Amino acid sequence: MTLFDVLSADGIRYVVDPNSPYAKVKSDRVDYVQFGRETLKIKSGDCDDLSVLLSAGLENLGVETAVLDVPGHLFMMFNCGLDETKADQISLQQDLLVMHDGKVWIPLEATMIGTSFSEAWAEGARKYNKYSQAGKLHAIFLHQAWDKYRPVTLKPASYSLTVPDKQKVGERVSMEQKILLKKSLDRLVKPYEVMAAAEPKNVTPLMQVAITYARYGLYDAAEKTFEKIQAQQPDNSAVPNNRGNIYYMQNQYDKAIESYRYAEQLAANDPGIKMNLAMANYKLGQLDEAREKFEEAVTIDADVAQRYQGLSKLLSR
Amino acid sequence: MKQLLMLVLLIMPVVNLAAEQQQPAPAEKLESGNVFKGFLQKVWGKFKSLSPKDPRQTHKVVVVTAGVRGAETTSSILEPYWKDDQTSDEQFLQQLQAFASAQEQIDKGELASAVTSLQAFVTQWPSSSLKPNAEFALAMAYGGQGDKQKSIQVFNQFVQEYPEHPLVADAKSVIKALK
Repeated sequence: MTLFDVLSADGIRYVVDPNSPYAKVKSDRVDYVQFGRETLKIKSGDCDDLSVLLSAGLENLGVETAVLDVPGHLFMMFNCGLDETKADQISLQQDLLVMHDGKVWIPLEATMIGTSFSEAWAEGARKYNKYSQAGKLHAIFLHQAWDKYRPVTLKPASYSLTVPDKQKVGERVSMEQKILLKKSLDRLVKPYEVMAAAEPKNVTPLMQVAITYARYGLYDAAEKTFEKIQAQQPDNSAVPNNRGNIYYMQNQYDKAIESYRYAEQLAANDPGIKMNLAMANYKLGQLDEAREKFEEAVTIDADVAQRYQGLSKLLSR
Repeated sequence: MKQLLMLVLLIMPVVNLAAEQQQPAPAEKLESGNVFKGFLQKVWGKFKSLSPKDPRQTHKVVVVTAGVRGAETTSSILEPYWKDDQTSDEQFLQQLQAFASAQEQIDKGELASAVTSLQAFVTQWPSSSLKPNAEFALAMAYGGQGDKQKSIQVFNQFVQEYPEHPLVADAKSVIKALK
């Protein structure tokens, strides 16, 4: 994704090869395929040039790739390194993924460079399924092809390239990350939402949904879920404790302490809540209060001292 | 996709064999059996995507960054305590591991072992929040073995016990197809 975004931010775009478009390649005509550095220099290429550029970039990072040949067109896919049994960690939509040799591969429409990785992925998957089902797709795995056609080593180029603008790259990567994070979280929370729907009276799976959102910084989504739990169980101490964690993660330690104190009232013998109070107090420089809560926690459960060794060291005199 | 195809290919001969042993299958019956396998495959894929994963396995994958250096980080030693976090609950993790292992057995076509594992699961942890998943998988494993009666029985039990479960419609469809 980052490579795709870097090249997109660099202004590389798709153009049809005016002299020998890939679609016109027949037994009596050949297409000129640019080397990656040529595409980087002129900032444009047709389907084969861009597929080669992406493949070369990924192979350079140690990511296995394959070029996908379909009638009149070429695109590519890469091995994301994940075992096929764990494919759902990438996407719940199986038709977005290609399974090859026990691994999950992601098809990409290289000509969509300049748009977004997600769109190029979706289009690559659509084309893969279309031509694969029609028996018109030929995958060329680069590592296998290199056995027959050794990769070339070029002389040093007579020109240098400008590194793409950091801000432009950052904006693209950040936007794509947000999209992928949301999708990734959907995959993590969906099973717990299903469990919550199956047993509406059991709030534990719903709590897992809220915790997952909170841990990944989706605080609004976490808060909405906490509210649902609280409506069902107003005295559930996990809600104010975990809500306190949201404040803690945002460095709002006063608010965190307020929330933890409420949780402590609801569950006076929970050493974890007391540890949270100790940590938040420590963050505010209130060492005496922090030590007091730490001691209270250890009195309830001596094992927590081991679990919170780091805090123990920070509180030592 | 390949994984699911494998499952179907592994299940197909077993189901056909079981059907043939019960009664000689007329041509049209065999045809409908083939359609059912495709449907079973789709339901299994959906079920898997809606089942929780072992977070210890998930985290192992998340830290892999395709060989790009500089992805290492040291998180704070002052990590807050999340109350009722199931991913820190040893008992839940044990259940998750047992369930994932049974699911893997089904993926590998080891249906008899999967049935044993899932039966043991529901007996050992009758109030687990993963019990609906275990029951659904058990019904699927029976179906894969060609034991329609037991499959329908467990699917009915699942529908009765968890009427609000999002997979109830799929369970009912499988029951209908098995009948």
